[in-house]
Amino acid sequence: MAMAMLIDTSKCTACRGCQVACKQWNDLPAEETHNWGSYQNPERLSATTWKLVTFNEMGAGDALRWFFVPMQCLHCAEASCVSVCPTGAAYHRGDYVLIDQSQCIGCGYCVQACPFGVPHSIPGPDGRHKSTARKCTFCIDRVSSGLLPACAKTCPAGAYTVGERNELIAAGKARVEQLKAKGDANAYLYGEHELGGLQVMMVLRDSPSLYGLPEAPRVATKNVLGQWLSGFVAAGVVAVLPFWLLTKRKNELAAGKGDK
Amino acid sequence: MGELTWATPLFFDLWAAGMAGGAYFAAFLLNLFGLDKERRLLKVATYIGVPLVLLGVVLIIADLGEPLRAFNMYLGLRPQSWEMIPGMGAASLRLWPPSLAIFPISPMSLGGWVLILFTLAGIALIVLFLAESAKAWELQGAVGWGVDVLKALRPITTLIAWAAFGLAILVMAYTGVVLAASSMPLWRATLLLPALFVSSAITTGVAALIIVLGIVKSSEAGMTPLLRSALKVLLIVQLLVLAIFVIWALAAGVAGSLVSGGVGVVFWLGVVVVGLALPLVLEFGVVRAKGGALIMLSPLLVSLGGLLLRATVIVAGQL
Repeated sequence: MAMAMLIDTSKCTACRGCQVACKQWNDLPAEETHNWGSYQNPERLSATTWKLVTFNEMGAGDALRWFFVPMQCLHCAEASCVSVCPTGAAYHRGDYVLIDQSQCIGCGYCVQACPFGVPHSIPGPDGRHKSTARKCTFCIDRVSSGLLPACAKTCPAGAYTVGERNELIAAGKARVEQLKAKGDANAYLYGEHELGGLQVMMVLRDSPSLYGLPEAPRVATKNVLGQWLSGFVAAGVVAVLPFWLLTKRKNELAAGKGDK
Repeated sequence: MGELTWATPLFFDLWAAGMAGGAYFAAFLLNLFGLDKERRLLKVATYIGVPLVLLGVVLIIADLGEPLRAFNMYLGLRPQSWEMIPGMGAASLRLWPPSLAIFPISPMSLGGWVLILFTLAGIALIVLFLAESAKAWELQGAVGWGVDVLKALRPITTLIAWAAFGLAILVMAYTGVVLAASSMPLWRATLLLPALFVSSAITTGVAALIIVLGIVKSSEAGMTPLLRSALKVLLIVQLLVLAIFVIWALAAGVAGSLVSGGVGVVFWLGVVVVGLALPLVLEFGVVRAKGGALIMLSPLLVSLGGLLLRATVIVAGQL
């Protein structure tokens, strides 16, 4: 039975223990970082940072609201990386989304396709060379041995719950009701329905965009037939406009000359 | 500014592949509509198209994180395609039945196949075209015999030429579709990116034909005036498609990184002024009046504009 994860961001203290635990378990090197005006450090996920607590500062009226998201791969059911991958390296293993490191060619398409900006093929901001695309694996090596994912195991704030997805949805909804009762009118369980259901869900105190999450994520290939059609129609229009018209005019000229 | 996962080599690939497809598309239609009955232009388009596409493929492969694994785009070499040889303890690669890596939903997977098939069709056409013009009786032994065989195959030239025409359309379209099937707002917000790249591919393809005809100055150069009048119409079409694309993207609120800032300068000056407006002025006015050295200027500018269009769209999408 695949385990799902529920992250209660209202409990997250942004200690970044999960970020460090992820680096340790997955043997990911440190990155050279710099002060870019936020506690969020490093600035973004990379091929060597698979877990990152994002610090979202949002002005809401007079008040400043500060939201933390322990961001990682959300393991979508309708995963854009899987749908665009040209080699089949990005794939679903049960409910988890993995990138087979022996199959990936490092084209970077999944990097462009993911609505959450999760996979990366450049190892950190100081990295010069592209690699294969890498991201969170849901600690599949730990989970398949009955252990908790490293991030969930280390969280001192009790923000993580790992368990059966239906139970987590129920727990998440109960927590959302609790938050609403306490005054967070827009509290929301992110991931119950998004992209066919996410394996990593989050309890949010306000709307997803304030957390840097897309409100209505769409799978990258949703419009792919329309996009192909756009190219074909353009080719058809251009075939008619200059070339066919040119021919017609030339033939008319030739016919005109013939009459004389 | 985020790091650019897709940068320099990709601009050149999209540009080169588009130009190859566009040149073939234009030449094929001129032949189809009876303006190039001897396929002279089609031959030129094929001769420049195959190297251009191959250049594009080499550039894409070099840009991969793991270039030596590029074959994974084509062959499904999964663990199950390796077999243990009983008693020998070694693994052997099972090559039959072939397990091909084709993922129709992934525009890049389709694009990879399209590039290979277009190249193969182009090579087949080159061989058949060369055989057509070869004087077999002057060639001795196996070569002369081979040419005779190829001449017997002449009827299939038309068939391959049609197949290559279909593939050329796919070659022109796939780059736009690859970008559009992503989560990058500028690329995905409009339905026009593939149309824009296709129109640019045909425009730069015709420009490439004019340039090549101007350089070789062979008997095919008689086609140049025809191509020039096509180029005028194409430039107007492309300007229109680009205008609608920019307006649509502005309306969707995603065009900021393309039309402003450093990329914006390159876009307005390089793509719009140098790549489209200036060649239009040259084609309609100056060239007709003066000719001479300026005659090659507008197709060169059109070609440069096509490269800058791809570069600005790719960079702006990732900002």
